Amino acid sequence: MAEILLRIEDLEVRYATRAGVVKAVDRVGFEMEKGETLGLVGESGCGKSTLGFSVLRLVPPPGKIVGGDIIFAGEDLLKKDEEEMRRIRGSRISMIFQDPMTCLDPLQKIGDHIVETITTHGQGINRTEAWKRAGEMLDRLGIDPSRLEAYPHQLSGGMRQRVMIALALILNSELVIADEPTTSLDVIVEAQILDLLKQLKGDYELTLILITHNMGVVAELADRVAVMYAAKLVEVAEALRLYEEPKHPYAQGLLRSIPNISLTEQVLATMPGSPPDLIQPPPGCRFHPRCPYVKEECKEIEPPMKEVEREHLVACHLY
Amino acid sequence: MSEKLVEVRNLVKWFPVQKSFVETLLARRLDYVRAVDGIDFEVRRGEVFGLAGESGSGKTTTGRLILRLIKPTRGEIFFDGTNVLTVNDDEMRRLRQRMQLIFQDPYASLNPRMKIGAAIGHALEIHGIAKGQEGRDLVIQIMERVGLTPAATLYEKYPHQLSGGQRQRAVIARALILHPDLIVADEPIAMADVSVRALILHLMMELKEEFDLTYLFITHDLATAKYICDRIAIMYLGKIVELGPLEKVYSHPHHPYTEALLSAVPVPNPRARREHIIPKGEIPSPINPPSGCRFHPRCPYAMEICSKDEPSFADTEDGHLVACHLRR
Amino acid sequence: MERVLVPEKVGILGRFLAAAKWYGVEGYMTMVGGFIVFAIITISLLSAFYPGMAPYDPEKGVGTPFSSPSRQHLMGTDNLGRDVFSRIIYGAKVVMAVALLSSAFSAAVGIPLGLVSGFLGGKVDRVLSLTMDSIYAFPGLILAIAMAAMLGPGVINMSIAIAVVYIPTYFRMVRGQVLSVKEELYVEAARSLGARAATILRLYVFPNVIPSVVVVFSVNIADAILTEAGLSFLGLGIDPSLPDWGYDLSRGKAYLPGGYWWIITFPGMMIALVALGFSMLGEGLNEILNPRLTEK
Repeated sequence: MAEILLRIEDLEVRYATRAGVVKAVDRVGFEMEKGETLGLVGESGCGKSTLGFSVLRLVPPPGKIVGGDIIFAGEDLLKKDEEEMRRIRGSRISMIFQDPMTCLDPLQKIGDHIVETITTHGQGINRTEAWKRAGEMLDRLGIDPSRLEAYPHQLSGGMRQRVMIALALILNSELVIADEPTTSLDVIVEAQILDLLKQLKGDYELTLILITHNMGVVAELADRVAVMYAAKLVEVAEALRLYEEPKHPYAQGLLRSIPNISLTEQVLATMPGSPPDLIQPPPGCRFHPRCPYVKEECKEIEPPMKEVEREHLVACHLY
Repeated sequence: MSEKLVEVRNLVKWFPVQKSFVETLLARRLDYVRAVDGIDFEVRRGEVFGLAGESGSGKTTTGRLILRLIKPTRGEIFFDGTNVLTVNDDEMRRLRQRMQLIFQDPYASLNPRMKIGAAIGHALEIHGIAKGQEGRDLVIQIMERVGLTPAATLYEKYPHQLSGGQRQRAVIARALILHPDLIVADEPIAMADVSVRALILHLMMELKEEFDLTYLFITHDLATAKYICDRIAIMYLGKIVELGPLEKVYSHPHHPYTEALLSAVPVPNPRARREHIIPKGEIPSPINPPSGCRFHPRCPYAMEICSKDEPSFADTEDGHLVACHLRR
Repeated sequence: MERVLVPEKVGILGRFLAAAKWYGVEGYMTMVGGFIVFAIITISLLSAFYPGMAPYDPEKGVGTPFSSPSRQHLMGTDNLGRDVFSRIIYGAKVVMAVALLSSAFSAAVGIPLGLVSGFLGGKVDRVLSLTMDSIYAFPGLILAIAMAAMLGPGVINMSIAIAVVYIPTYFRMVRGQVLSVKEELYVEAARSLGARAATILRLYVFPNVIPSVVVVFSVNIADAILTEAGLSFLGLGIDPSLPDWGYDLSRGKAYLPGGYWWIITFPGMMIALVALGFSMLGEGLNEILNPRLTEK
């Protein structure tokens, strides 16, 4: 029985906006074992990115975590103070962002940035040693170590993303959260990065949360998949099970509406309507206005998350 | 009424690189971004023709050139037999009624200060087709057709008051209201929510049948292209490397780049995890493209001739063309 | 966390109030600014059409000269025994007239020139920009003084003199906005529909440029008030017998050492207050007019 590295329980995150209070994450909970890759999928606005940021307690104001627990390696992250969190970020838990250009300091050489990350987490390593390690890491990720001297704008998109990965791994993070890591990349570079991540998964025994709306990317990397809709978790299952037998009507609709290049004949299914307003979400099950199997129950009572098969959880009144 | 709705010959578009005053003084020559560097193709009436490629391939620029939103550096573009580049302004304005553009970013392509109804119907006014109540009726009609309901209410709304899917429908309605022959769709679903994409694709296909449309579908997403396109052209660094009926190109890609591209597309099926063919290196700058075949520095099959001679576009079988020295 | 719902049907006032509530301090500032503006415009209009509003005739001595503020003379009397309070009320309409007129002139000239220059580019743009930059290079008050001296006294002339100073501000603002809006996708969309240049300017560029101009307008008024006060202070303003805050300010200066503070203080305070009011209003107006306020 593998060790549970991360356990999220009943997490609630809210944003105060001009139009009202947005419940961005509404009582979400799941567990992650050490070494597994969890795909956190959903469309834009479903709360997956907010969830990712919450683990690092980096939810930007006017957002706020208002409830729940985030237990990482036995410690409750929500009870820690800012100083303790700062020590965890970048070292024990790292994040890979969607757009490297906005995360890399344009005025700092790549090498300096990586070295700063190493020395800030004060492991008593001197600069020369840190520089050497940075070079080794870049090499591992397929970048010529001489590029340590380069500035971010001198690198291509794919290389910048690899620098982000380097930053995430350089301190041997136990948990890595990747938020849409390949969305801004061209298809071939995307494939390259995915191959790289697959390799690193094995080499580093990474525990990875892969946040994305791209079901193809998730299929390539994830061991398990958690599907979010309108700030709630609707289905969690092993990757293979989810793709072959999705149980939640939303997951079913989603998977059937994505063009699959490996299929000779495909008819795309369509889902009527659009994702709901998170200030005033529909009562009961959030998906009920769009669900082809909707019953009276669905309009009033929120379906609880149930284990319907081994390791396969769904929040739906059909089960 | 020719079968070839659009014909492009030797189309070239070079953009001058913006330099600072000092750089211009010191530079020995002007640099150009060779966005489109000599392409030939035709779009047949009634088909969905895909123009696919990664960034820097020139596909978006090609779309705009065909609509004459930018002027080419060289080359010819024919629309239904008429040379688009030699017509005067009035004729061009009339031609514009027959070819329309659907943009990638619906929010950015809608005037934030114009109500949706007015935005959709503006073309009617511009071309003097209908005004006032008559125009409004036509707009309501088309809004209902594309699913922008309740039309009378949405007519009065501003873009920021609509959802992403509704905005894209508005952009489609705006393009359709003139009953054009050709619609150039530039990544029409890239910015839409995943669950809404299928709806928009379906809508486009239905409208194609109903309105007798021809699409030039510009995209980087080969999975979507497979779903909707009849024929496809793969672009790389300003040139078309392969062109042909979609099934043929996807099942038997002749160009090494096409091969790599197809293998890289992520498949939403964990069982179908396959080998990615990754060409080495990265897409070079379009300011200084490689000599000979542009793909040669990255090509796993590169031969000596590839760095010297640019391969010409040749027909391998009926309608399947490729520009590669391997297939000689 | 309170919920601030913005009903769409309420229109400008509703959005105004909602914004005020949302923005907290800034919002209340805007409201205060708005209130001051409203008050001063009302007073000006009233004093123009209903002169009996002021307690006394501002041009006649009605009390003992140099009497300090009291119940009969709320702001005291000046050296000629004229009631300061009445002079303030009468002066309001002159100040507002000049400020509004000059801003209107500036806008009427600067905005179209900016539109044309930004949209057409090329030689036209270069010539206009050069001209505008030259005017802009002059310190505002000096230029106004020069123009006023040239044109002579009078409300209209003063307005023109001040107007010239601010034309480049509108020009630059509008030109800059036009340059960026020109590149927007919706302008390209309009072109793809077949719209002519004039249509694009009118329906696509102008409406998207205007919101930023409104902000300039209110700040402009504030500045114009100060400039007008300056010109009057220097004696370049309207007929000196007519009540005018700036003029009163200049005369009051002489009596300050004698301890007669009210003659200079009240006009000065009014100038500052009104200028401040317009500035505050202008700062907040941008948020109000921007339709994105009601975005989900």
